[in-house]
Amino acid sequence: MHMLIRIIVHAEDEKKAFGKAEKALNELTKGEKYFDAYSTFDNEGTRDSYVDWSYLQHVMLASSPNGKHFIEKGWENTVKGYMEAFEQVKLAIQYLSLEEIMERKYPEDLPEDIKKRINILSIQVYFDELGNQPGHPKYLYHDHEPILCKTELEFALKPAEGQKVYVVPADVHY
Amino acid sequence: MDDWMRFTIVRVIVHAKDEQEALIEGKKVLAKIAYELTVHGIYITYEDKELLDDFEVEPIFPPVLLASSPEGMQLIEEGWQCAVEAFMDALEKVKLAVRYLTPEQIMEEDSLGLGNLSEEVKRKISFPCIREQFLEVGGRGEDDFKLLYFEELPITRRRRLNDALNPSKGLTAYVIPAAFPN
Repeated sequence: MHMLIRIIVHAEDEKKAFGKAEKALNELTKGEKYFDAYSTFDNEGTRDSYVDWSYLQHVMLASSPNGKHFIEKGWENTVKGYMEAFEQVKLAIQYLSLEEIMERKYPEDLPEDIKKRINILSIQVYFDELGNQPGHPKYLYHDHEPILCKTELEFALKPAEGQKVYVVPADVHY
Repeated sequence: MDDWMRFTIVRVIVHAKDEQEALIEGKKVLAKIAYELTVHGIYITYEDKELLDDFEVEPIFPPVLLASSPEGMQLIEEGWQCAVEAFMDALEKVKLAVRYLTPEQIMEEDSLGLGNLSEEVKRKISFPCIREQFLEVGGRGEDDFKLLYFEELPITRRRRLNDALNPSKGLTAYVIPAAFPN
């Protein structure tokens, strides 16, 4: 599957920002542990996608209208993904035993309507999604570190002296 | 000092035609996981007399064991129990976190809202590292050194353990123990 992530970096200029983001993306795809491939928006190929990403530039100032909107959307998606995973984890804890979570199977007597609410085949994935590692549904990164909460996002958006905050979009595959 | 304290014994299950092939396959897996598990990528198999001497590892295991032999079964069972315990422990922490904390508090790993919780619960939840515990349940956890492997991945599920113990026709399941310095 694909997702569009945002790499937030602190740098003196666009060129350095993009270089830093590429370094972060190499880190995030290393060993295919979190993502297995990425493409940035500095080539036309990426733009041939079925989604209209025409408003994206390959590097944006985080404080520009497009940059700001792009980061906000990333944060919304992160929270949405987190809450979805949280709901699944809550259901798993409520209705499944340790063994059933481990083996990804419903208890025999679980009513059909509850079965429908629990995505049993992916149940362990939702636990991972609430964890602190990179990967879906973490849409925002500060260099290669996933931004897990609002405090970390605020921190990422505060530049050190002499630097600006940039955001670099990347399509990643996992 | 007791070997068990100085070394973690990782067990790799492989399917092979004979012991020799099993050892080669096992070492391939070990070489790969050693770099993921340790900084220096050092592991010691029990046929490597020189390394056993260098690291003062007691040669308590044969280099290769049949998975179905009593000693092989015991090694595998110990590795499996360790995985189950780590899973149970993490799930217990996750359950407490979900029961006592809001999704926002867990997300922020924010201890401000913990004022009304007893010290015991706070300790049990492993705050502020609760998000790591979710990974332990999910299977991506890195904190715990897993002891039992099959095809380069830790065995964290009974079904996978069964697969590991049921080789296809003509092959036999072997277990290769290796000592990783702690």
